Amino acid sequence: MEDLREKNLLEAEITDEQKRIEEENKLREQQEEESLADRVKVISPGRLVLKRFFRSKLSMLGLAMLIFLFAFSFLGPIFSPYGEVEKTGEYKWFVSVIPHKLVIDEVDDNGNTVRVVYDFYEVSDPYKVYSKTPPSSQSWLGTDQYNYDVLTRLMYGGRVSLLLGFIVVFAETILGTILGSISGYFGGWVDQIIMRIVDIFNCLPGLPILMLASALIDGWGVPANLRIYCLMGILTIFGWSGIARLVRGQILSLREQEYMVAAEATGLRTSRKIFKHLIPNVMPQLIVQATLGLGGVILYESTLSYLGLGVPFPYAAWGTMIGATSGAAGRDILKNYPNLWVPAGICIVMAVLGFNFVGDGLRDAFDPKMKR
Amino acid sequence: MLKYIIKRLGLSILILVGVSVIIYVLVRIQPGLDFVERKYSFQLSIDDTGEVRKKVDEIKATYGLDVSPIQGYFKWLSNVVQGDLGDSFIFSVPTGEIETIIDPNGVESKKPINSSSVVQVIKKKCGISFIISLVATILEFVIAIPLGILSATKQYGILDYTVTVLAMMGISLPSFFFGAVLLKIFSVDLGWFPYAGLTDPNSGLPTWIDIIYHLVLPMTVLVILSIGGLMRYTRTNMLEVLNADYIRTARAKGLSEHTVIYKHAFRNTLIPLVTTFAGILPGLFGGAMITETVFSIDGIGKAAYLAVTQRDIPFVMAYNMFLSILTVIGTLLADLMYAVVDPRVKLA
Repeated sequence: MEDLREKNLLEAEITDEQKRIEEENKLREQQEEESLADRVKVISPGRLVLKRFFRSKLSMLGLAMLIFLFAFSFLGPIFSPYGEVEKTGEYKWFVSVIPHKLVIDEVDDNGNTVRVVYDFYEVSDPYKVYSKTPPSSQSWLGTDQYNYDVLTRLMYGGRVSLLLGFIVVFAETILGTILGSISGYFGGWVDQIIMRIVDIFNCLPGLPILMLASALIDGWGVPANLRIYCLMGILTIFGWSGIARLVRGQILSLREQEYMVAAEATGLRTSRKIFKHLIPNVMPQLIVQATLGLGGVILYESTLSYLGLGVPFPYAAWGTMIGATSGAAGRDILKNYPNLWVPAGICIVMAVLGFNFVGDGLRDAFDPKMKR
Repeated sequence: MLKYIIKRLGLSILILVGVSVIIYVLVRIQPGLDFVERKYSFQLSIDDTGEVRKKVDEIKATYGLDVSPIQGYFKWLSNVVQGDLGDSFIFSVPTGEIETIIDPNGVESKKPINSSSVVQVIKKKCGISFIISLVATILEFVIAIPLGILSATKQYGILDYTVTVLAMMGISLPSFFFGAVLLKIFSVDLGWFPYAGLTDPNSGLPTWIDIIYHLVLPMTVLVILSIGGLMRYTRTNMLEVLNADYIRTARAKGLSEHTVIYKHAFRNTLIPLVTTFAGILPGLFGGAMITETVFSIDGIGKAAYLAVTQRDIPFVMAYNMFLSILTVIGTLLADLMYAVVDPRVKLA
């Protein structure tokens, strides 16, 4: 576009000069033609897509948000003085004092009964009390109800959400692509069986099923550090059907095209036809779908964590931090300690929004019909 | 057409059987005490006559909890085929009928009959959820479609960017976070709206106004979260139509821009919009699990949440099957509607 405008301007200049000097005009026109030939650049489709992508403001905004979040969660903990499960040391010494009153009727020296009141106090040994603290210079977002540093927990929570999102979407895409392409390529009874399975998974109500499956993991007593892998498995198993459907639809139309007849004629193996000739043509849609899917997976993960069925306690997760506001017990946090849960919510929104912006930008960039 | 519908219905039954197997197995294979054992665990621990054990075993047998998950599934299935969906473990709702009790002294007292039949519970709890979803869905369509059209006609303008960014933010907001923010601002800090529930006996308002007043915040959450998707869908399809040749022809004929957009373009945008009906049906009756839980609304969504966490097998099964049936019907309806509104589509 820029080049074109420049060229137009140059040409306008030339016509001006045309009127003045005839001879120079010819000379310059020749020069112009030469330099035009030099300027013609061949742009590969991939570069064209990238160029379109980077021109869109929204996708750049999304990319910037994602880069920030990644730096925040993966590099941030290096600079944080606290650990994920480390009490920040901010505590107060408390001594509990329970007053008691004892009323006893005593007989005094004169033989009269006298009512005597004894006051005594039960004093405990001094003990530490950790508490929520407001933002301070030591911990910028304060500390939570377990006296963990909120900012540090936010970083570790980001690691979980982002990493889990990527792994789940990657696994989903592979599973969905393989099943979808087999179904679309072979058709017939293979297609029937796979598509009915896809239908079943499509029909399962999302959140209740994920809750049931997570509760199952809970019941099996999987150790806390392995729970996250189980969660990944669950999200993958119940999430691949959309991708399979998309791939199947694309392959159904692609396999009828002439280049596939050519591939048939050259006697290629079936696996080669599927993986080298068909799937690369679905790639653009797959990339878009996967990017948009990342946001969805992060939302599901944080919802499960919010309900207490996701990433288990000593580990941090954005959803869990918001979950602290739920119910009657969380009312104090909801009301008085926005520093404990609002940042986590903003992080979730930023991550999902970032992936949505980038996914949208990629879709527009891949779309050959788009003019800009 | 009829043949197509019959074929699809046949396939739907197959799908529903698959869905029910997965859900049943997921609920049943959970280790640990099941609901009945947990409920009677104290009585069982102090029981030395064996009477309680007998009673518990009896109850378990009624629900097919005493056999393996596979046998239990077939028991559940045969009950369902006979029209018996079972009784919920944890819920019971008044049926509306009143029982008259005469105690030994001859004093009559009236007592409402409660039923924990799953069908009754779902019917009862569905009402409020349905009203909420219906209003939210209507608002969603009324707001999202005009915005989508506007944003498509002014593509890459300031309005388009603003609407797109706002819509995307709506999609990206988790309901529990947005709900908490609204509660914090409008309920706790400003005190404009109630904190939870559906009615407040001390408010002095007529019941239905009180309910509406309580539903403002949850409704806001539902509408804002759902607008984005529909708006962007409308925008994409509108853009596609606006690039078509017949729109250029319409403009060339000298028709006003209004006629071009609302008569020629928008009508064709309605075709893909019909497919969104597939998703509406389960949404209308299924309730909003998280939003209802956040705002403590006693609807079907919250009931489902409680049932899942407390392993109320009959309710979980019935609720999920209800949702799946609605999804299946919704998809079928969307496909049929597609053929109705677009004469080019042939059902096979």
